Amino acid sequence: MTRCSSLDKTGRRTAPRLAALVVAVLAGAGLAACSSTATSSGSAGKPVYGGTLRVISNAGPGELDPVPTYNFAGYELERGYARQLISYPTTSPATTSGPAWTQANTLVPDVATEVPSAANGGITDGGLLYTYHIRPGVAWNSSPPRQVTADDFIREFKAFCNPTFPVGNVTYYNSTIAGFAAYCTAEDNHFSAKGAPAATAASVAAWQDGHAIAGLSAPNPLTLQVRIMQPASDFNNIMALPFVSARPAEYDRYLPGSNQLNQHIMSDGPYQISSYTPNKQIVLTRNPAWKQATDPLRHQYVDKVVVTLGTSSDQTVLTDIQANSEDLFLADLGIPSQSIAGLEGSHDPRLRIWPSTNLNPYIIFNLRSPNSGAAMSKLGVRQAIEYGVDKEALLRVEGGSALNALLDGAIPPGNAGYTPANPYATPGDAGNPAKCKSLLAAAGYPHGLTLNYLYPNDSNDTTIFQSIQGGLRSCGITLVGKPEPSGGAYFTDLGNTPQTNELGTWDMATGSWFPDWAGNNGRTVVQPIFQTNCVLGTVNAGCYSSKAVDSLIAEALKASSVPAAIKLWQQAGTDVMNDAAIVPLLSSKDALYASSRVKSAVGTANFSTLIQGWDFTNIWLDPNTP
Amino acid sequence: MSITNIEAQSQAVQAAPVVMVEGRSQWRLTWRRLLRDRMAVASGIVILVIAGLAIAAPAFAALTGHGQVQQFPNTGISITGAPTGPGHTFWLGADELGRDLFVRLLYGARISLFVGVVTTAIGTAAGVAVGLIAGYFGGWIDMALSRFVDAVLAFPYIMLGLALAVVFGPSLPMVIGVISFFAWAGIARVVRGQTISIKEREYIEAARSIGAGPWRIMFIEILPNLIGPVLVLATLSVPAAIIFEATLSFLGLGVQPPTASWGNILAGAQNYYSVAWWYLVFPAAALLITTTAFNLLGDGIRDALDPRTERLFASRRSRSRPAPEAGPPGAGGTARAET
Amino acid sequence: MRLLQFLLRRILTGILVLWVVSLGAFLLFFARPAGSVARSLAGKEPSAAALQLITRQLGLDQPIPVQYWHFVDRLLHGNLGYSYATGESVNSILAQDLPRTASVVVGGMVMWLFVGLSVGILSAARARGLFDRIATLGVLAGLSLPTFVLGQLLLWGVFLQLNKRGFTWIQDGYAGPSQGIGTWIGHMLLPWITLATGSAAVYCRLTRGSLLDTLGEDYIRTARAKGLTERRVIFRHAVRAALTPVVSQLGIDVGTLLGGVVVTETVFGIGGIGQDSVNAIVQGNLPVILGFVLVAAAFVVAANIIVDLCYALLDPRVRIT
Repeated sequence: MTRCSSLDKTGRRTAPRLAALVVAVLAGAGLAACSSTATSSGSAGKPVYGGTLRVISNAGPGELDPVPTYNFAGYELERGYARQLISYPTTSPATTSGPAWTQANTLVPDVATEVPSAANGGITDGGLLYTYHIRPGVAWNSSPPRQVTADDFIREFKAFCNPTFPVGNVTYYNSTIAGFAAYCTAEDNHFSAKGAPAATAASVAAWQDGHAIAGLSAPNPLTLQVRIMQPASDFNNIMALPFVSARPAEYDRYLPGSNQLNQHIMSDGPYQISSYTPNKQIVLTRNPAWKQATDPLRHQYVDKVVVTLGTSSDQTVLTDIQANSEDLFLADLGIPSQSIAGLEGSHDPRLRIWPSTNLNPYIIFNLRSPNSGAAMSKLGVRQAIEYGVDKEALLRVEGGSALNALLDGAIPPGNAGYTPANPYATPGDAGNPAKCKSLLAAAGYPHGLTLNYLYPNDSNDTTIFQSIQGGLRSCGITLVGKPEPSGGAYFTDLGNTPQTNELGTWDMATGSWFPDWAGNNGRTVVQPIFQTNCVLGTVNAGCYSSKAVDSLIAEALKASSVPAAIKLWQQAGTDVMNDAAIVPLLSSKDALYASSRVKSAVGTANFSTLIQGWDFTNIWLDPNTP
Repeated sequence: MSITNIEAQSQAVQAAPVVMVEGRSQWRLTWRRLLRDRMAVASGIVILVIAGLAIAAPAFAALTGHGQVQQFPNTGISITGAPTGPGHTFWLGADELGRDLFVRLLYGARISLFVGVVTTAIGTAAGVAVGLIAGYFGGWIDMALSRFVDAVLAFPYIMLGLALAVVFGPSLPMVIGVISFFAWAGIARVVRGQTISIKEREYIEAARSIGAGPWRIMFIEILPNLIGPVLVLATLSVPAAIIFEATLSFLGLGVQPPTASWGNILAGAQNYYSVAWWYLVFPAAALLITTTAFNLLGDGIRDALDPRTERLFASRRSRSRPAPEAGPPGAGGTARAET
Repeated sequence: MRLLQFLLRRILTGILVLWVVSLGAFLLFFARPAGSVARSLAGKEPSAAALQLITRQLGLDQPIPVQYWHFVDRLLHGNLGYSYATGESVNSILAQDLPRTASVVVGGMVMWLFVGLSVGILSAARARGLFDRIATLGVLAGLSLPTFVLGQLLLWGVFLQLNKRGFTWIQDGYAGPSQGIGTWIGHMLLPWITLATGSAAVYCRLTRGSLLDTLGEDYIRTARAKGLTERRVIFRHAVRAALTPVVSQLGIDVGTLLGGVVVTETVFGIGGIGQDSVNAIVQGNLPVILGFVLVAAAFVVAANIIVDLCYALLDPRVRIT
């Protein structure tokens, strides 16, 4: 643990006097030491209280309810009003390795008093029982403020399987927590049976309140116990996801994820939603019920946050921030990648490029497509494509290595199971048309091949498609583009039922996947993308299925130690590349651009690996301008 | 003054305020007036040059060694993705994927001209037919057709384009369909108005009294008199169609990449023009020159058709005032770049 | 009495037109693949049961005529329906969006009328002179530049350059007149210029053509022969008559634009009817789409009726059909 983290906690209780003195003296330097792990200029001085943070966004998070919210724009706002039992510190690491990275992805307590572990007695019963103690003093902004309780967390879990807007990813929970799958099945059946009652706020709340999840219990209001079905070394990571926020009893009056609920969101964090006009504006103001003493992770520097929705052009984002008419943009926007080279060249301090662990983009193969004699089902064809893609050109087009990492394997750096192996190496990563052609010929396609390629019709994905199309042309593969609006038809077509795959609407598609946590995270990388799961809503849209990989996944999930798990994930990663299940292309870094008055402990806007964006509860504005 | 001029003058005077035409000599006069209008001639030449360049696109592709969709990431873009500027290798610069902008502009000219001409042809044919029928028959036929035209003109065109793209997927045939769908309505309205005013003339009465049937009257007597205004409308519809296609491509609904269209090149330029001015300037200039040329030509034709030209501005050169627009307002033929 | 009859007939046919438009929009959206609406609203990984429930909740699984009947029924009670995405009533979405679009359109209209009319009149007065020729080229340039190109150029060339040097009056995004006239103009100036450029060109040509036409009439020759100054001839007599087609075109244009200026709103982030209708279409948010399409069509129909009424009142020669 570094000095930085001891400053983050209120260390008065545990540090001996001398150490405390040393700490205090070095406090100023300590901030600089924290930020020395970052690449650009150091700390921005003392925090300033006050001011209005102006943020722009495209469509915004949509819902403010933590249950369905599964996007980074939503996480950015939730940091202010929805606290979890445990979470990650915002320490803005510069790369995906090293002590700063480790620290950024090591769990720390939030609402809970400590992170349960075998050492502190939080994990007992052979790794099957997790106990969380809730801090007294964490309060809702009700009138009068009242304590957040264990029942509030149980209420949130129960809302996961609601019939109108279910949780973003239920697999993490119904495959671990005892009784969860049964509860969800029962709720589904109740509301979808013939002649079922209409799903209203009252009927949903009544059913949820009337049924229990076997593995969740609250022996007293400040203690939550969770029983899981088999040991899992990453269970705390699952509990740290923003889905597991406390949920006040008042939410029973509204349907989850509904617009009515959006107008009545409550807060246990430093900020509260004071107004929400869909598609227009979201305003957050300070929450008077929040106390710094109960929150080791956040602060209340700015007075107000105003999020203006409706910007759609990257160029406008850049123009606005350079003109100082806005301060930050939400994760549903970006700045033009082309301008980044110029900004870097002029050492613009407002620009920071942060590391990511994502697979963005990658090519998904529809292994069940019947087109061209079921070409996609043939290993030889897929391997030919692995050799044929010109990744170096795509890297250039997407802004070069300042903004992206070129991927050779299915598991990107920073994730469990990453290895630097490059099974389909080509000269300069620019593809090998000769090898591609010969593999195609061997697979039975000596005269080339025509395939359908599905992609979202925004400008960046269109560019990616064209780059891939150009590269594969040189080995005789013709890609027919099928652009779809990314909200609707794109996902419908993307193999969301086995039938759609078998229609052959698409043979290849652009995919992107952002792991939900880093470190010991095979469950959120290898499992969703590669485990056999050919059902509606799957991430494994190509319906890849390998018994060997499935059993590796099952073993890794219940491995007793993290290193053992990592070995298994590595093996799985090697296997899926040998099967050419996907073509990994790039891991995109996050380019954040903030106005000159945005400050944090690391100079300009900070970066939280949980949010994959900035953490506004640790940002202040200097100079003050309302 | 030459004999022809005097001839022309006296004919014009005799013809007085009637916009009626008869016989072929009027066309010859129109042609001569047109040739004297330097702006119109220049525009005509520009259009021919553009068409020629468009036709020769594959030749230029071979000459430069860069195909329309061929990417040259090593020479065309830097390692951070910045496009190469105009120079030896890429005459007008490269785009974000390292493709030759000049070659793509030429292929884009093909699309623009094709879309412009085809949609105008379809729109004109359909619009003239509907307008003639509605104007001539009157009564409930006119009422039904006019209301249908109103409904078409009332529908927000971008919404329709978007909706169709979402439903059927964007493509060139779809773009042509959407543009034609709106082009014909405007023309129909004007043609209807003209038909109504023409059909009251005496010689139509005369034709009817000798037993000519409605179809003969419409197509043999009325239609030739419409050719003038319709030609003007058609020429002015082409640039409107070209801009419409560019706008649809901007919204992602038009011709799909990698096929080049000036619209989708400009849409791609949005994120790059601050580092690659050529990516915006050259396609915008191409659009500007082409549409201006068609607009000038349309103006010229309109002026050339009007026999009052000589009478009013006899002492000046041939550039003359535009003919009055008969019929209800809101007619097509104006390049509406926005709704 | 005839006028009343005329008005009634036009209103009835206007309603007919609206009905046809609504039917067309409704049917068009049922060509969408089944379930894609629910999917686009349901979030990242919905279960099959969740999708079915959303479909039922929103009534998407009922037969199309039934859905249409519900729609018409609500409409007759003045209710345009509820957004599939947020549950907000479409009426309230319109109430927020319309002032924004109106801000853009009204300001743009003032600008294009001023520029278009003045340049048009001057061009006609000095027909084929130097001013006329230059104006013609300027006009054609205005007609030929797509709105999205002009908008982006203004953003980059005016907004960014000014703000970088500390002049922050010009802003993008929307601000209403209630936030101060200065602020309002600062936000709206660039959208107005973008919208007005193309229209000014149209109105300039229209005015010029119409005025030249009027100037050729006999009664103008009489006025000239009587010895009136050219200026009097033009402004006292000709312009008034020449403005008739301009007024009618104006009515139609405003009517059409109030239905949403998609490109201008998108480029400047205004958040009016145009921008929201694009989002609604991509999401398949049928109530919002239908509401916007109907309102847009209603504006156009109303504008047509008003224009025809003006014609009928002003010019007794026009046959009332």
